[in-house]
Amino acid sequence: MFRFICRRLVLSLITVWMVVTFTFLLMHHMPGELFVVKKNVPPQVLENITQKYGLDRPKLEQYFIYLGNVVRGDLGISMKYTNKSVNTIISKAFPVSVDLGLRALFIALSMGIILGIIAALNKNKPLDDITLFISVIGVAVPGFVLGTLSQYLLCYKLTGFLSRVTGSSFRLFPVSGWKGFSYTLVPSAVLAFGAMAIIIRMMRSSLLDVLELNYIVNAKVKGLSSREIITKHGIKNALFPIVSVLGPLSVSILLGSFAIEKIFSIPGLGHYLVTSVQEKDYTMVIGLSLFTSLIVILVNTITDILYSIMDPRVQLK
Amino acid sequence: MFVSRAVKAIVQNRIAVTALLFLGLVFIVSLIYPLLSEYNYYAHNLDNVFLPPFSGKHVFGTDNFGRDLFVRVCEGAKISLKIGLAAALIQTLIGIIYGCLSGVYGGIIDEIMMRIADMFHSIPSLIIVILLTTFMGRSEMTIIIALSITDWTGMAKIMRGQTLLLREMEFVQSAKVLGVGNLRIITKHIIPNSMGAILVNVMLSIPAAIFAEAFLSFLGLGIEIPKASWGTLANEGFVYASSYPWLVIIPLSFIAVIMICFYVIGDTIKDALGG
Amino acid sequence: MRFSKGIILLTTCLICFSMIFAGCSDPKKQEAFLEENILNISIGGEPEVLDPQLAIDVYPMRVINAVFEGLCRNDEKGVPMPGVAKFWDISEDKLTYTFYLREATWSDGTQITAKDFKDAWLRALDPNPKDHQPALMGYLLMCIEGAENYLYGEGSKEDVGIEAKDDKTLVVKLTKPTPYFLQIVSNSVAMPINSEFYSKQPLVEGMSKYGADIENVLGNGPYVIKEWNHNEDIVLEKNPNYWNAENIKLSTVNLRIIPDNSSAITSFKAGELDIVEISEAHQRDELKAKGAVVESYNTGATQYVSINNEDKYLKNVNLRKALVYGIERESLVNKVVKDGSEEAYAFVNPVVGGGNNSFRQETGDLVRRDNTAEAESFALKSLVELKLSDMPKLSLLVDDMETSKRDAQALQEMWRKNVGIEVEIETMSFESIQERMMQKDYQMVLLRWSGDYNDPTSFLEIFETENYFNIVGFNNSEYDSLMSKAREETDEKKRMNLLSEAEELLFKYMPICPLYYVHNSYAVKPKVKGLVRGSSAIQDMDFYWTYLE
Repeated sequence: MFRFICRRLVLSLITVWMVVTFTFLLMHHMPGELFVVKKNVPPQVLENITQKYGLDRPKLEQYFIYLGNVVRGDLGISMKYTNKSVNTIISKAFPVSVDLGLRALFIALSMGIILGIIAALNKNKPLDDITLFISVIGVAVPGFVLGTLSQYLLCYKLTGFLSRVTGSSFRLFPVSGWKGFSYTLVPSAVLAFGAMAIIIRMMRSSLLDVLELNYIVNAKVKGLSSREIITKHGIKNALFPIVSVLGPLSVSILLGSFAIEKIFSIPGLGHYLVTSVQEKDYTMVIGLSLFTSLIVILVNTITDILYSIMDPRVQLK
Repeated sequence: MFVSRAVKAIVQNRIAVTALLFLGLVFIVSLIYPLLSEYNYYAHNLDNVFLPPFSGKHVFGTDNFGRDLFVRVCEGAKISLKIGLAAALIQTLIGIIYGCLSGVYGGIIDEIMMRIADMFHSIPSLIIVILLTTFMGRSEMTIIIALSITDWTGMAKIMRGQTLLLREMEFVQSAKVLGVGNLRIITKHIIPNSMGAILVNVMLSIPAAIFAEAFLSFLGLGIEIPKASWGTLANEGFVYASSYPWLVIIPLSFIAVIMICFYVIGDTIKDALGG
Repeated sequence: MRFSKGIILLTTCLICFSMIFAGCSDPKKQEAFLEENILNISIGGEPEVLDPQLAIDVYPMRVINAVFEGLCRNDEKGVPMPGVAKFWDISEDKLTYTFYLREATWSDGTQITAKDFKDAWLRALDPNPKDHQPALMGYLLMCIEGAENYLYGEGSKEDVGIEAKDDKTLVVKLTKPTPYFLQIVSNSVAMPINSEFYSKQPLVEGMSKYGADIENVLGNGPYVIKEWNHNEDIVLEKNPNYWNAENIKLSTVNLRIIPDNSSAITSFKAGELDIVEISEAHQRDELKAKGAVVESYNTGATQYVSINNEDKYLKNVNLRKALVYGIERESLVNKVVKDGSEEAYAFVNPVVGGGNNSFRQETGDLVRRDNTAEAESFALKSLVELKLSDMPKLSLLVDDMETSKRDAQALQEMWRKNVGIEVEIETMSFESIQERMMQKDYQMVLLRWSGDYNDPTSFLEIFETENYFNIVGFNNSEYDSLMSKAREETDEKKRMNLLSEAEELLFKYMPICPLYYVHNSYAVKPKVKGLVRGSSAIQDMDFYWTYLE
């Protein structure tokens, strides 16, 4: 285990370094001027700004200065939010994305597993078809569509209906914002949908596979009740494939929340991932790439370790 | 042999056949639609805006410029399918070559190549896509390239795994002893024996690419107007959803159904080849 | 059973996380919008910085107008009225302004002095400030004596003609009579700064944190910031120390940051917002039917197509005329844009004053109406002059906004139909467009221009040969001399005549293709009264006089 983590650490450092270098190269070879403004600004002033950011120095020098800062944990200052450091912006926005992502992951996992079990136990019965329908929506409808739709139906129509019926000012799901528990439910459910669909299908097919295996059949012969069989042997073993896709799924939930964040006005990181490139906020783009690559690596490492804990046959190397 | 087994599995499965037929139908109609409709996808008719479906000759109604939605959906099918197919094929191709080379050579080369793949995997693909569009302008080509170079790492990892697995097999070992070159081993042994994994990957990559393109349209990064993919159509229609719902429902249903078709076919192949 | 323990652990972790984050939020806030005297608005985007000198965009300006106050402030009609200055004298030659400050305080209770203004203005003109970015709007103050030299790094701070005579008197000397100087004085860039507060701000990477967060803002306006949750909302509360506090009726203004307009409209329908912007005609009808009041106002901007006059085809005046006359502005406005905008047959927006009437009324239309028939003949003429057999294919740069794409498609189709010219639309981010147009690497670009102050010069100056934003490449010495004559003229009537002449001259050459004067529609709850939507960036959304019924 220790050797595994050490090796991972070294490899991760290399990957992160490559990410920084690559995005640095890309950003600094973008065509065009650095600061272009519609306003009547004297060229000298623009030059002064360039100097302030050290962008007039040779590229190589800038690169090493940046690397040095990164090693010290300093990602520089944003060029759009001119007096905020990239660290501050990320540290304010990322917890929100994590919060949203974890809720979504929780919903995706719990609902996915439960619905998958239901589907497998009711193979080819109406309940199976219902879960099939749910997972089809999950894979076939883009997240931004699902987001707007559920915002309209759940947050506006249903909530409005409920408060009219009860005659109170209580609002079940607010339309937009990020102020409390009731605000989180709809967005995280929508964000969870895609992953949930995959988990349902995987759980269903792997549980069906497991139930046909010899030892389950044996257990049945031994006279164990079917509930016991499913909880004791079936589910446990059917979960393995799901753990193996947990890494990519978590990453896509954590970093793929831009549309949901925009629709529900959630102050997460997704906004910066999109706008910083368009606005040529160099330091922000490089900082974000570095940060997200760290997240990807971290999540993958955790799932690998989790997998090895669950299945002693899997060797970490 | 894998291909024939896959084809057989599809033919035997009624749902898969339906999916295939539907795909074919969409494909054909998108090519021959000029014979079916007198309209084109760009001409405006500002006096006939927001006509509901089945009004006059407008089967799907018209949009905010009075353009015929049927024609625009057909044109969109062409674009979406083109982007989906091209991006899926290119990324699979890159993945196969990269993965095989990495697996066959092994050692330090493998290590370096995998780090590069890791790098591409960890940079948010949105950043690469937006950067590319600033470099190359917004066109179908840019989007195809952007989607291919951000999503090939999955295939590469799979192929590397396959290569590592097959490399140890007897028939590959014996070929090696007989002095067969690496390139020949890849083309003769590794790729044919991984056909199942490759096919499944292609079938899953096509809808993923169509989806990704739709997401780019949502961000306002779609292809050059007035051309429109399904994603662009859905996104344009979204603004009008509360008053003229067909503008979003029609393109969306096409995306959804096509998506399901590809998944069904992909699943069938996967089942036939045993996962 | 190692494995099920793992799952239980994971699940518990997830639940705990959810609990922790859910626990962070304050349940009271949810009830906030139900109380009275609270206005809920969406401002559309996060203000980058709440620093009056550095703000450029409309988002920060919407907040700054409520939190700060200059010597003057725009009244309900957009005309400067006394703000921190109680009254002012203007010398005979219109070159010296003396402002007399009232007893007003910062929101922390300290006195506002003339020095606070002097410091702020010099800060805006500083070409190379050590702890903040240079102020991009500083050029507005260039009409002050010595300011231009200082801003260009040639003069010194001491030579700038701003003098704080005593705590309550500010004397400003101008280089030229500037009839719109009071407009500039009420702008964001001329708002005061509390130097003592500023000097206490911590630095991040050498930049002062002034304006970055709630604890880094000290204002003097009718409202104070109570909460600032980035990318989420800004809560403003009435400032009890404001000199005119008794006339400010709202106790709290909730500025929500909702970037997606359709979700803002859903929020409005659900009652979470009191005011919402409308982008499409059908939304207007829908909201009207739901009992909202729908208003429309002129934003003071002109939507136009900037044409690169140096392009090998577009240098031909008849081709440009063909493009200008090829647009059916009436159907563009009534059938495509549909938000109450008016057709533009000239460049200067009708909100701009010009003596007794608006400048537009004085000067009249400069592009003939109902003109598509002419377009073709101009096009044919241009073909002969350019020695071409076919119409050249042109390109139009368009930014990512849905409304811009909409307009571009309408233009493309009208030009195809009326002029027989194929125009390719290139969409790109606004940043990329800026770059292309500044380098004159374009043929046509869809733009929107609004002046920084209410005067025809703020529109017409961009066609002067030496102007920074002369991206059309208009180069006409007669025009330049008309403009500089107008700058020197002290008689208002004569000045306006000169400017009228200049605009007429401009349209002889058709360097641009005007489309429409941009109006903005918004829906507002019937209970909200006295909301002002002005025609300048600083007054885009003004709740100075707003109250709830």
